[in-house]
Amino acid sequence: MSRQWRGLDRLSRDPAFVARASAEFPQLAAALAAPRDRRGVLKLMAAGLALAGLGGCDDGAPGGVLIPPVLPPTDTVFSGNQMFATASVVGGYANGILVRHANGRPIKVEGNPLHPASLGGTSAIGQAEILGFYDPDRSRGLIRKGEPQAWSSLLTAVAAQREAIRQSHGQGFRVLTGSTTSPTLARQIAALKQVYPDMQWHRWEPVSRDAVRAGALLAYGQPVELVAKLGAVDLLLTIDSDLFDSAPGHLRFARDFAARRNPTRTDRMNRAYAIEPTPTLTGVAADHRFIAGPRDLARIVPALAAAVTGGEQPADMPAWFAPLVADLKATRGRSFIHAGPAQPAAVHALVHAMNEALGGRGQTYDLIASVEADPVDHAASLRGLIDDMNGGRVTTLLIIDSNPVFTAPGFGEALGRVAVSMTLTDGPTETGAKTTWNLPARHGFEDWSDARAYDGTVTLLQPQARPLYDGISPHYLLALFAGPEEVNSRDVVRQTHGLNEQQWHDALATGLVAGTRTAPSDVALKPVQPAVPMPAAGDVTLLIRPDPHLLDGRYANNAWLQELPRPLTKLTWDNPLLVSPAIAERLKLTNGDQVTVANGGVGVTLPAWIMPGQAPDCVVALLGFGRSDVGMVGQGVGFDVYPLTAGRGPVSLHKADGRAVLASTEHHDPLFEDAGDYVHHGTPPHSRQIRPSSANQRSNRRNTTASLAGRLPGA
Amino acid sequence: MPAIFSPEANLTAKLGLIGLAGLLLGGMGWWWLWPRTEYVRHNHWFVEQKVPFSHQHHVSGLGIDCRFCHMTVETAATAGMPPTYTCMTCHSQIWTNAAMLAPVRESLANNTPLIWRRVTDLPDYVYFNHKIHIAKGVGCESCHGTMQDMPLTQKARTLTMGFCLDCHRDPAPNLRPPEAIYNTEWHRTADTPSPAVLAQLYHVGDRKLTDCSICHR
Amino acid sequence: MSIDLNACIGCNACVVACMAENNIPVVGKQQVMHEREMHWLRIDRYYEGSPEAPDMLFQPMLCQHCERAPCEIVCPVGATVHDEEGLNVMVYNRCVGTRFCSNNCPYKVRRFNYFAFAAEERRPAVARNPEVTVRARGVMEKCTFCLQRIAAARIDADAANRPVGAEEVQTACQAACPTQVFTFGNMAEGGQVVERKKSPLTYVVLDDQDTQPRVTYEARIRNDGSGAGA
Repeated sequence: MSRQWRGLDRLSRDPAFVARASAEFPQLAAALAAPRDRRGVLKLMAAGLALAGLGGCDDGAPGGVLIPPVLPPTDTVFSGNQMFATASVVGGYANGILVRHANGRPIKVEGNPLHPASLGGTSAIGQAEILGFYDPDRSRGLIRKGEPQAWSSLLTAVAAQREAIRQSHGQGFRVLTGSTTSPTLARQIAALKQVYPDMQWHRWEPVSRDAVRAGALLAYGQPVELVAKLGAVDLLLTIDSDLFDSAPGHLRFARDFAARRNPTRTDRMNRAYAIEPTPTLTGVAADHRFIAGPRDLARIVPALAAAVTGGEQPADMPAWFAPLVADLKATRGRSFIHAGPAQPAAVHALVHAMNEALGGRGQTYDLIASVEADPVDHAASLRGLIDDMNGGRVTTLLIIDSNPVFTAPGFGEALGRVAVSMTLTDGPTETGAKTTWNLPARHGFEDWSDARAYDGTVTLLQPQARPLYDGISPHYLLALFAGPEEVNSRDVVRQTHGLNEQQWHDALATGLVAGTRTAPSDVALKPVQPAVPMPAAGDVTLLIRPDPHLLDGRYANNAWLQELPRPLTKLTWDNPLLVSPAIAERLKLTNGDQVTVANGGVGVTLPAWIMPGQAPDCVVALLGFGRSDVGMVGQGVGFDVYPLTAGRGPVSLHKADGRAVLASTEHHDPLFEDAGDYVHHGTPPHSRQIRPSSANQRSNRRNTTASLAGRLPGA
Repeated sequence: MPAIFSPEANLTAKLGLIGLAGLLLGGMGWWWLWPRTEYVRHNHWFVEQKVPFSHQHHVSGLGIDCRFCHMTVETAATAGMPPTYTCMTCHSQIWTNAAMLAPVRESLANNTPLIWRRVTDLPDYVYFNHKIHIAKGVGCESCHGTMQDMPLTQKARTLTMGFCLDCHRDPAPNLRPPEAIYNTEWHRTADTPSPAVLAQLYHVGDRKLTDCSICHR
Repeated sequence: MSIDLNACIGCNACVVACMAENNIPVVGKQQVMHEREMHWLRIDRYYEGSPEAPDMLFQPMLCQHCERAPCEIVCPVGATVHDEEGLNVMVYNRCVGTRFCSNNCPYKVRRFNYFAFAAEERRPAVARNPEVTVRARGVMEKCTFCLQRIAAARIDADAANRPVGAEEVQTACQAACPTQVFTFGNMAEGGQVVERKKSPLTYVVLDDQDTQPRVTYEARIRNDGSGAGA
């Protein structure tokens, strides 16, 4: 009988569960009772639409047809797969990829072994981008107030706008984008600012890294960014961190970290500690995981900083605190501490101070000048924009690759006060439905652009195919606002970098521009002692996190990502509220029970999911679901929790009536009951006898509790 | 009581049963035999094309090598069809006004490809690779027949799985010396190396060619 | 194949890569609830310990290509066979859909097309990988170790009269993984897979079933500070 379990009902030996499990199809009864019928699912996956221009070229002949090209390809005899370099841009940062083509069209994303951001790996989102390219719900043409338009009408409209904006020196002209590292985009906006001095460039990224930026500003006076060198790290401490799942450079960090994890493949196995309120991939990868909610963290992190930088010995800390500090000090110059974007700026500043005190700078990490173009505080930038919109001070608004109507409460209402608004997006969005103009964007695989990796390396994006539909790129649109000529994105990108023919060719062939890595900065740490704000007391603390696969919701129409089981909950097609076992116990919740979570005046009712390993007072709401305008796959899937981001008041949680059926694969395809341990694991001295022995199992069990008495260094 | 059935009914019943049995056997025979006919397999059917291309004229008559048009037969899974450009290398200078070649000229002029109807095709779950067959000494004629004698292209072999397995089970007798693969006049003579020697030369026989994974993916 | 659990962070990039490479259809929430998701490769997540503070472990699970495969002996039509290279081959055109094979598989890695999922997909046919058969309704499918990649390498090697190199073939999951979890190759030529299988950490899942799988795992080691390490 294995001690390894997959779901809480299995563990509790809930008699109803046992009865269902013995019938081997535990979800069947629930599934049959679910209101969504198969027809509904089929509607979701309706028969393929014939794509304009891609519809079968078959003229009905039995046995099919053969269609050779008119002219042969020059210089090559086409005989198989070809790979072309480009990048997958997530959160503005580039992960270099190669796209594999078959029969002349892109079909698969592969990693680029030469690219510093990944050294050949890819993320789930990077792999799924190819599905977005072929998505039948992509924007196909220009729409103005719901009516299709010819492109000439856009040219006319923009010409009129140019005139109006010029007259006001750009007062009232605003551009809103997400986080971007594109040198070309930045250059174009700077050029626009030359022409319209009073225009403003706003930024909004719902999955906010404002605290990271603000923390760097506190600590160094500049928005420097971290480049971790995990190959040199012997001791890693992560605090509510996204180091391995979505931080810029996460693919590279995961690779460097993993290279030192297998003691038979490396001489120096590293050690990782994680302190976090809710399980993350980084926490699972750690050797020791300590659970601490935001209130605990607000106490522990300053104490840790005091202990590490000042040698103090704070009282009233958990049992693992002292051994952790001892371990950090023992690995001076070989350790690295990382905090995630959900932690407040003060925590980031303290982490910077600790890293400097531990001597890691230059060894285990470097600081570089901001890779993000023109970094600003996003929340302030958006608030300013919304205030100006409400105040009638915005006359022309360009929204590029952003969906603020869905992700920013209050934006939709303010949008009504803007005279002319344009959204550039490659698929249906809530914002596109409300702005004056809905401009179809080319997919990232269809046009030229550029972006920078986490370490500053410039990556050129080259088209992998001719545009499937009518679409334009942001570079084209911005150039149109500067002057009447219609530009070619390739020329614009080429102009930004000033590469000669050979360098341009090499950049496209290798997927990166050589020598553009940002050199480490020598900025000095400021002697600040920021106070970490103590979160409000209460029974329940609400954490709002991006969904691991949909992020802020932009991938909601990607069926692969919707159906990909989330790493820890194994949920698909849904985003229940993740509640801790303690809260579930208190409110008598089981998976699927409806709850209402309220933040201030705003409440959302959604099902609950019990998350083992979560801090006792925490609930986690996942962003990115509940979209109302996104295409047939993502429409109405899940629950929209963005309204909760607007609340400031006390958090409350109540059980509501009813249950929802959730599709989690955690109980699917279970291996045999009597198998012993399914996953073998151990600790270094026992590495020779990995077969589960009772001694081994006992020691492992001790390791899973937060108090590691007797198992830690120095103890 | 009078008899229900007349004496003739016996004969009727017997004939009826024999007829039924005959029908059943005949039906089963037809069911088995019909898919195996050359008719159903479209063997020797002339397929109508937009341009009635004659292999006989171009290969026997003009002596053009297979690879002039089917360029990727040695390097790719598919042999390749010639782009319009290839046709126009000659037909921009000869037969320049022929009505038969009008679609070719239009294709080049309008930049729209020519659409050829497939004569030789295999089901989608079969993954045939020309490159390896050429590399191992299988001549074009083994599967495509005597193309040089066809005024209009037709399918000359059944190309069923049985046809493929007949060779895969014992490839050696079907191999040609390397220089003879594209030679339409080649026949085995006394001087031709024996099948065993050819198999040795091509390293055929190392791999079990009747594994399902050889052709099906 | 050798899977290093020390490197697996559970990111699921391999699962999506497998879907992209092998034309694996999406089935929708309703069918997922019926346990009919079609992922050939899945990441099993196990907890160990108390629900408040458990240990969390990931284990990628895919067809183990067993040398003594329970699935091969029960197929009534011979649709799943073992080839000379050690692969458990699935021949879609022979499969009649009895599902006996998935019944017998102790690892539960076989996926059945209960409905015409591939036909109902909302993407154009051109988006699919032409090297992999698109499965119809009623056909069983499972991980093939990217047979299309193996075949491409095999054809190139045979045409050049050389053996397939030890690391010449990279499966889709192996190529996509950011942390190099998967090691795969032609063991007849030696190479890294052979090395990894010699590791003392190597184990076989459900080894008392004696299926002799060709997929082995390297156990996850936690650096608790009492052994080798920093």
